[in-house]
Amino acid sequence: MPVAQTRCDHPELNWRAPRRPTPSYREGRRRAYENPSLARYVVSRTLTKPHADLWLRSDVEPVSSAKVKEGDVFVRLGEAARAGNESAFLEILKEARWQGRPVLDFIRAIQFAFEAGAHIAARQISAEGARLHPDNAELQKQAYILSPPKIIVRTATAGTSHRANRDWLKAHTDEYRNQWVALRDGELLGTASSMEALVEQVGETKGILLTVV
Amino acid sequence: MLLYLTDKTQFSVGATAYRLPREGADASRITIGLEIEENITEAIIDTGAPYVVCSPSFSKLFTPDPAKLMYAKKLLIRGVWVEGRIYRINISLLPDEGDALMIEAPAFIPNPEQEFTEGFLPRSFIGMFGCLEMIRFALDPLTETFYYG
Repeated sequence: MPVAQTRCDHPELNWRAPRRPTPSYREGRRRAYENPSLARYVVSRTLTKPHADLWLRSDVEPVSSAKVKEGDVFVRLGEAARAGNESAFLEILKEARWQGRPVLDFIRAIQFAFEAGAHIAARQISAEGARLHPDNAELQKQAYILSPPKIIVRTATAGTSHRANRDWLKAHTDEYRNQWVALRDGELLGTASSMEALVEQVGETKGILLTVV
Repeated sequence: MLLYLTDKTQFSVGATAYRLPREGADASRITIGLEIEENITEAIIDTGAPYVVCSPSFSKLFTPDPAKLMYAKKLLIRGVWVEGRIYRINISLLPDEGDALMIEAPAFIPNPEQEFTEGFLPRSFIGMFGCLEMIRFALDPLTETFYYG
């Protein structure tokens, strides 16, 4: 996509696009896509400029207002994410249309969802991205990692009992408060002031509970 | 004894003892023993937490599969921004009675290089979203038992 000029000669849109959208810039953008004759000057650059996603230029091809609005959704998603505003992010997300969007849009949207704390939305976006781009390895991987937990095996065990460890911990809370301990079947194997020191002391940790009292 | 529904189908396949730490930031939080990537530790059941969140000290014990890594991110945990990565890992609920359950789930693993104050997040968390959401679970405070299935 060609680099947009930062200054437009149109008499109504003659201002410099800031690095971050300002209130006057947003107002100009709103006026631009409300008035079809001005919309041709507005270009969405959501893919490469998260902060200045709408630039003004005088020689751009006419852009549909729908495309402008779609670019605007990503701008607002990014703003909500940077503000850590999950509810605002989810409200804006309802306006997003995913069909036809490139892989990078999904990846960015997932990142925004994490920044906003919208973990469920991150999973939904990744799943939608994987569905629409079945050949993209990165989206498939992200969808897999974020997919719901899966029970992969159920095994009958006759091994370590946590009850014995739990009973030991309850009985020795005062004695070992804030100490790291290593236990096996209710038997103390070692104590230390940190996890690292405890592991060094105990050595092989397989089958051993390591915890702080 | 495990739990059953009124039609005699199993509600839980396993049961394990839990405890409530008496002091510190984890005081009165339901804490169970479990296995994370073949290392046994205690974790707090926190239905408000996303994913499994490994404690910084415990996460140094294992090396998750890099093929199951998602990019780094930050989580706000107890007022501290913790840098880390999301991996798909295996955790096992270990029973005192019944069967163990191995669950493949997304987990937030803190960056081992990040420094924390002493005593920050000594225990791991298992959250509803991303971990417990696919299993039934129940608590019996009279016997301090956590049922799962």
